[in-house]
Amino acid sequence: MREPRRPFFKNLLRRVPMPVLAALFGLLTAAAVWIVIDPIQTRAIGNIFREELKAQLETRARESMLRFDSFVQSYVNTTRLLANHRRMADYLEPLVWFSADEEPPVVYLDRQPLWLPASAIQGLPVKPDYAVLADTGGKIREVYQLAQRPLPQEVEPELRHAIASAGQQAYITRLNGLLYLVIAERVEDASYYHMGSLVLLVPVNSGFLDASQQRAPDSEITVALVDGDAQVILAAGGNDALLEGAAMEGIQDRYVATVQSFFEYGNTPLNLLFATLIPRDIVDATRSRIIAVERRHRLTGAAIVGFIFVLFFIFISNRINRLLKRVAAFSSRALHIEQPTPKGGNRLLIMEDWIRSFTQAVMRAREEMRARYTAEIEEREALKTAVLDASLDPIVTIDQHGRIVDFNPTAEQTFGYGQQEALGRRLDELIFDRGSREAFNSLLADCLKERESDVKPVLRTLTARSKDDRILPVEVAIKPVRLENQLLFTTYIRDISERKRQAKEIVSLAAFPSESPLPVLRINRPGVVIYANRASDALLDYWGCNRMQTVPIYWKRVVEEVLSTGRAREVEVTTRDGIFSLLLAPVPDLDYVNVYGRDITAMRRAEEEARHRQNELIHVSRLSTMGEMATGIAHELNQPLSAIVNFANGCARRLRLGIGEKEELIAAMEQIAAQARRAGEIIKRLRGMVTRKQPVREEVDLNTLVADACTLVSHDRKKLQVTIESRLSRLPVVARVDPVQIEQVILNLLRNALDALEAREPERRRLIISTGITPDGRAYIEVEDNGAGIAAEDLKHLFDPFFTTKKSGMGMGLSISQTIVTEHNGRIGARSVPGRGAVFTVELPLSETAMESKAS
Amino acid sequence: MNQNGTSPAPTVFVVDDDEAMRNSLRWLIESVGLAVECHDSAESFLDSYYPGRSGCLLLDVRMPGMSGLELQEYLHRNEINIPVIIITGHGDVPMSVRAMKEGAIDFIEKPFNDELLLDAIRNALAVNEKQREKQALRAELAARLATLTPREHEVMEMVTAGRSNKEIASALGVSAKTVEAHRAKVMDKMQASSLAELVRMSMLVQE
Repeated sequence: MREPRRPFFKNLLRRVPMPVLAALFGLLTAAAVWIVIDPIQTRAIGNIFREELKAQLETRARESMLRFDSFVQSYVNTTRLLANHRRMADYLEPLVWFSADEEPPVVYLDRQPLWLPASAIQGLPVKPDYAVLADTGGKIREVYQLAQRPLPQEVEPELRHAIASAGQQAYITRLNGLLYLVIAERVEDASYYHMGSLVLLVPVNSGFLDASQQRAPDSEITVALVDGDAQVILAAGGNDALLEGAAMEGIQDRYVATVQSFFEYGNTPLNLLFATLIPRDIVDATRSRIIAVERRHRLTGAAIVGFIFVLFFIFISNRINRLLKRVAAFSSRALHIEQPTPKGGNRLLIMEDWIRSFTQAVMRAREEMRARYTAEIEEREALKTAVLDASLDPIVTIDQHGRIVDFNPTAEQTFGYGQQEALGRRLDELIFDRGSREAFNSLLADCLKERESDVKPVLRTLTARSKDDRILPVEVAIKPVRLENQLLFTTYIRDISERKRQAKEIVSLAAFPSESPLPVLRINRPGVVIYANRASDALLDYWGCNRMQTVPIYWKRVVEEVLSTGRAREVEVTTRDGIFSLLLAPVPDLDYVNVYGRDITAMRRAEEEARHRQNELIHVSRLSTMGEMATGIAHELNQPLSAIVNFANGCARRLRLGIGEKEELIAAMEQIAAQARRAGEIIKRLRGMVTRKQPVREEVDLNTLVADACTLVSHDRKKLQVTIESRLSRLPVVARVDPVQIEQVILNLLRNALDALEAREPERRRLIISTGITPDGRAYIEVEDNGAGIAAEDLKHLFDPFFTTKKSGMGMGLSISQTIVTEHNGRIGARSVPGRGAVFTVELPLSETAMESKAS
Repeated sequence: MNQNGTSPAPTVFVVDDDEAMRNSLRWLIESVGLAVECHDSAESFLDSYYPGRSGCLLLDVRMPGMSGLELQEYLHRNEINIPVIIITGHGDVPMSVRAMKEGAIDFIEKPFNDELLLDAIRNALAVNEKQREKQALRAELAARLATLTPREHEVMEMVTAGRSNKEIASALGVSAKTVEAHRAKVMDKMQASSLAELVRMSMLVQE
């Protein structure tokens, strides 16, 4: 609250929520209106009620009258029925009254006369007091008395009068102080012969009146007969017997009476009036009830209006609240004015205050912004000037006529003109020669044509000329600046002579690989050859692709691999034109691989040649070994051959002499076959060693090779009486080798060992050959002898070619063994304690399957 | 003769480490009705052989363990006289020569000519028979020699050395007459009918 001196009342008003205020205000107004309007309204309602009552009463009175008439008429009809009844006719037919008779009339008291039908009188709502039968002369002859009192004498003249007017009109008269309805009917036979008259005298009392109205006992409407002259009630319906004999004035305060003339029944001296009475308290109660109902309706209406009024104000209040919030959010976001939205209270007043303070805040914010903007503009202007001055490129501002308006220091330096010198001159004439001048002007024109919205600096390379006549290649960009009353162009001129020189240098650098006599290529990650020099044609031919095409899938993978590992890789390729070693060097930043080729055809051919020679040598060595072993092998072969001869001779002799069982002969024959096979085996093995084969690699159990080699030296070992102790691994030791070559190595070692044992006494000669797998997972073969051993001096030269300590032999055995083992990625070594023996070890890599099975 | 008596049928002992060779030899030799006993090593042969068994030995020179030559040497050293036929392979000539020097009566080369082999065996068996007779005679003579007194022994040595009675008498320091008496005793004990016979007996014993 920024206004502390707010009046208390206004403060209170602010606090009260608007719907509450609206409700209060509505209530007060309604109360005021009510106070003014209610009496008027009530009076008006009273008047209307009275009018209405009057009309109602008249209608009621008329209705009562009509009911009375029809009631009377029903009596008339009954009387007529009785008069014309068969009983009446049957009674009167034979009866003759004499006019002279002074007989008193016959009175029926307890019994019903014969001339009346049995139930005729009983069926009437109000029984007549008397039924009188008179003769044609009007003289009363028979009276049926239903009342207590006998028919008084004085009624005779009255009856006569009535009989005289029989069939005319029933009427009411006062007889003997009581009101009676007199009904007279003529009794006639079928031929309208007048036989007498029937007169009914029905008492008009409260019972009669009530019956005439078919009135319920508690009905509020009462009818009465009034003596018009005396203004006294003669008979009245209802329970209020007090009414009878009362004066009309006397009952005005209790009853509302409607009086009607009653002339139809009035042909008597009596001036009868028919009155309809309604108790005043009932009318009043009805009136007040109506007023109350009307008032209740009015109140309900007012309440509904009030409720809607309040709802409307709640709605308005909420809308205002939302509006306030939105404005507050907007102001805080767009104008940075923090104006809290009030939570409760009178929205209208709050809004008023809020808008006032908001307006002030906006004004302040506008002031601040203007100040900041001005400061910014000033700053930017200063910065711009600094930029212009410090720019490394010449920046020249010209007006729409091409005259120089601003010339920055770099421009001064570049073109050699001072600012004072340049200002006001046409830029095109100042620094461009004729050719470029036109280009510059057309650039300027283009610039103008561009719509302001998509202005982008147009760049063009032109030739400029400095004051000292240096030719400068420049790039020019023009940006129009539309000021309010002026069009300026900022012209950026960049001296690109240095860049051009660098470009040239790069181009000449780039020519390097193209001049290389060896393939140089560049392949990107998707495997597209981006660059390939002329020497790469052989490679591209091999790949079957061209420049800017994709290399085969295998090479694509190699490129990807090199890129993902980030390590250079060397790959060899044999093309039609030669063998290339390709160095793939990744350039991860640019996502491609540089490929440098090297022609290694000659090198590979030389290697191939060397390998060929080596194989030759190995073979020759093997042949010579076999030659040296020929005696032993021949002996070995001799064994089965001799056996065969013996068996064959034995058979021949037996057959010749006719001795020998068939079975034993067959067994001998089988022996012959077995021994022939044995000889064949030896020859096969021999041939394997002698035949020259291309080096191969196959998975072989080294134990088998050792066993085979042992067989080949069995003759020599027998000659030396040496038993070879085999300590072979129980599991197969599988290596991927050339079996013949490895057997050759084993053979060499065995023979060396046997030779070494020659010097030792026969019974102490020991030769152990063992196989197995080293702890680091390599296959090994070990040959151990307890011969003389090898001198430390000789150990060094053991594997040199032509090194030998023996009298015979070329000294190639171990050298070639080493060559073979090295070719197999293996190792051969020797250790010895002179005088006690020597151990030779060959280590070979296990085959991959063997490694796997070992691992599992 | 021999205390164990002579076995009526001579046996051909085959010692060879090669089973096929043994079986084939048995098959061949049995075809002429000779008994054959095969051994796969010299040691096995020595285990089952006792001196005096008649027969011959068919021996492979080249064997693991005790070789043919060693066995021959052993027999020689232990004065077991059994004729040895050496079986040699092709080109084992130097070894065969050594064997012959050691006293082998024959050598035969693989593969065998069956006639040659069988002849050699027969020959060897005949030699063995003679040897056995000679052996028996020598044993007899040795027994007779054992009956001589030491003086008679001295006299006999001197007589067979060709010395005269006089020389013997002076050498022994006795009279010639005494020498004469000893000499007669010796001749009697040795059952020699003449000096020449005595000399032959003496040579036989000393062999």
